[in-house]
Amino acid sequence: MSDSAPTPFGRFRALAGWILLPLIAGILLSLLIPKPIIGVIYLKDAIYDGSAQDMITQLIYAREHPEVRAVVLVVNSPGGTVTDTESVYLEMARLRQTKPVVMMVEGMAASGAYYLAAGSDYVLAKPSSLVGNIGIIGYLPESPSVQEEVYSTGPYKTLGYPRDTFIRDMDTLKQGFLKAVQLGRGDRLKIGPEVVLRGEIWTGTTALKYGLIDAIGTQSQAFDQAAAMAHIAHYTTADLRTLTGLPIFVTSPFYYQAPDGRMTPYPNQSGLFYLYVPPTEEQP
Amino acid sequence: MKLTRILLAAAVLLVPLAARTLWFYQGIYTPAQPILTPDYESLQPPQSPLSTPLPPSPASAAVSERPQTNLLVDFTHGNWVSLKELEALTQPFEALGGRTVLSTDPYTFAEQLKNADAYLTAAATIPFTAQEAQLLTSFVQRGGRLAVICDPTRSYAASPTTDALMALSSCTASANLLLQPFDLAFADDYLYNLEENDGNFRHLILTDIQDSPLTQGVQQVIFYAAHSLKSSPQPLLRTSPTTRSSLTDTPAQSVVASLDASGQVLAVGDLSFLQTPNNLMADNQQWIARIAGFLASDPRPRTLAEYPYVFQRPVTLLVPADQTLEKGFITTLGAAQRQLALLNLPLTTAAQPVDGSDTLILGLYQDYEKLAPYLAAFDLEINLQSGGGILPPTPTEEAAPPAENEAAPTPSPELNLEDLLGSLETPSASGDSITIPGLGSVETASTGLVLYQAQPSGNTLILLAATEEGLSELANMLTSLGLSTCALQDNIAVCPLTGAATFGQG
Repeated sequence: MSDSAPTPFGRFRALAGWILLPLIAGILLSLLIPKPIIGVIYLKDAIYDGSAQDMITQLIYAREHPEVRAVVLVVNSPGGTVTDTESVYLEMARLRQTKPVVMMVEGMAASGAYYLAAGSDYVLAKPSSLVGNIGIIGYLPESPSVQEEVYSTGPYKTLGYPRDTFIRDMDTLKQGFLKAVQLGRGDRLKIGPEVVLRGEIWTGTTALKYGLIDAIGTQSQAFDQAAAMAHIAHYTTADLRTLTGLPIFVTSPFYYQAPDGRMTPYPNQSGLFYLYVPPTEEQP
Repeated sequence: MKLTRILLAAAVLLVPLAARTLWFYQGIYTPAQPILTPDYESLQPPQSPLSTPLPPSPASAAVSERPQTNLLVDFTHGNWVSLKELEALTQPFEALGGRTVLSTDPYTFAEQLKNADAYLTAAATIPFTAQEAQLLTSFVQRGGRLAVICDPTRSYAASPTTDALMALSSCTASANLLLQPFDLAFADDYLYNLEENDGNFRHLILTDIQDSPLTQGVQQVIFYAAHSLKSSPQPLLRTSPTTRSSLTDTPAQSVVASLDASGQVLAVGDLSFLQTPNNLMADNQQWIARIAGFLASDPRPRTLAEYPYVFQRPVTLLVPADQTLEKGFITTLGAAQRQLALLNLPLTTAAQPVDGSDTLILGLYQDYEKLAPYLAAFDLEINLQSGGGILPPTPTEEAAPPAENEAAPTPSPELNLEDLLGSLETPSASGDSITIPGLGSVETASTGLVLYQAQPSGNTLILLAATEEGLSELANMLTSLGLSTCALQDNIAVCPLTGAATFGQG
């Protein structure tokens, strides 16, 4: 047997062996490269323990899954409790170290919801969206008293804190809120603290003028913005609630329900809130 | 050759991988700026301002020497305040010798006001009637002090959906009806300061304090929610220029406490500084003590129209030491004691006026000469035909009314109960008359006179009639009906006793 010229079949075999097979293998392997996902988190309620915990779960998922390259928060919220707002805000800050977070304000991003907006990389809103209401609201604790049948080991065991301390702590939270807005918006913020802290709620148009948001836009523009910031293309969007397997969100009783069944805009429990309470005829 | 093929295969293998990667991923995300969050540990709550010590309380002896000052506290105008909240003010007021009286029945308001030296209305949300406002205006004109407090947190919010009456039901609307005659008026706003405040934008730090007895020793006051005053003749407390009114949202200096031009009417745009612990912040306690002092300052001189509240101190009924008490006199004395007891004033008898007491004198017309020291101030002209012609009392040096700050007059040594009360056997003769300046002349037989003189050293009330029976009837009439059946001219009342008084040419 001596060497002979390769037959056409032999050439084909060589081509298949050295080109087609690697190509097919490459194609198959490339399918392992995930299609980039823009995770979408919807917040269409007040921020309280239930809604905040859901958001945190989704934010952690986004941070831990490389295919999620950016997150868009679609928000229509009046804010909520101080603690839950800060929990979400700080979790967002961790995520932003590696992935951009864009906020799309649909109806409203007031108070605590704007706290989250300030903690986003980019904020879009509709012209008529309501934005702002920066500040804290809360009910003063009762005046100190003792009761015949209730004993405690300290004067503020039942009340939590003196009324004056409550007010001064509220001011500390206000400072934190202002700082969050200033750090988050940076040079984009066009108004000073005296305007920021007035607690006004502005339309999207005015908020844009004041530098509280970055653009007027839609959800699809928010996705595109997030993709651009994450340097991805041909992305897909996914509801992170579905990806994380969270159950369908059930609203828990954050708001006080009047005896006649009417839902009020007031929280069910006392405390401190980054919350917009719209004006109503009746007080609780 | 084989190496070439291996390299080719590897390249071919990588092409799809690279293509897909580049198709989706066009760069690596790096935050444009470091992700910063607030340094929460560095945030500090604002500190409470320091309080200055309270001024020393006046010695109890000095307090007890003065007549008691009565403060009437309004609870009849939908006042959105509790007595407990006002304790921060009423307690120092009472420590200064004052007495707090609550006005809870609008039908007794006019009567209660007669015995008041000061009137306090706080967070009233039901408007004062025109009659009430007129009574209070007259009260101030007679020397009374008026304090009006409004608070933006204690005012019903008027809304377009509420009717006009509801819109009136706010403290500022109610108070302004009252304050209008004194050129004081609250604005329907609240003040705030986002730059300089005591822990909250509505907590105003007030350091622009005008010199006044009401602000003596007060350097810094904190108001916790305040109306501004849009008219303020004598401003006491002013905000800093960076304070804003909710009406304009523009920075401007505002007045939050002011006196009227007479210094008798105080308007304060905040109530919450009285609440614990707000009353202990900064110099609030000093400021409250000064308001209490304002309310408890010298008692208002009474007029006869304010009978029976013409006495402000324990009362001495002048009775000569050698006098035998008769039945009619004892009856009259008992009735007077019972009435005065309702005013918390003891009635005792003495032969001569007692320092620190008011004086009650019962007398007959025929004894006018002996009563001359007390009657001189009234310019009466007594014409007793049975007593020897027209005998106008002529003030002499001895008979002149006691001057202010002097000791009370010493009655004539001849004065005794027999002289004062006269005798049932000597009725006044028909045709006897007494001429009252500005009023006319009245027949003495059927007429009793009530004369009143208020002086810093003590008030004097004189009851005159023609007979002892008439005197008893007059005393009983005053006890039961007051002056409602009498004609009143300044500090003289003419009361019909057994028939209508006949008035002649004055």
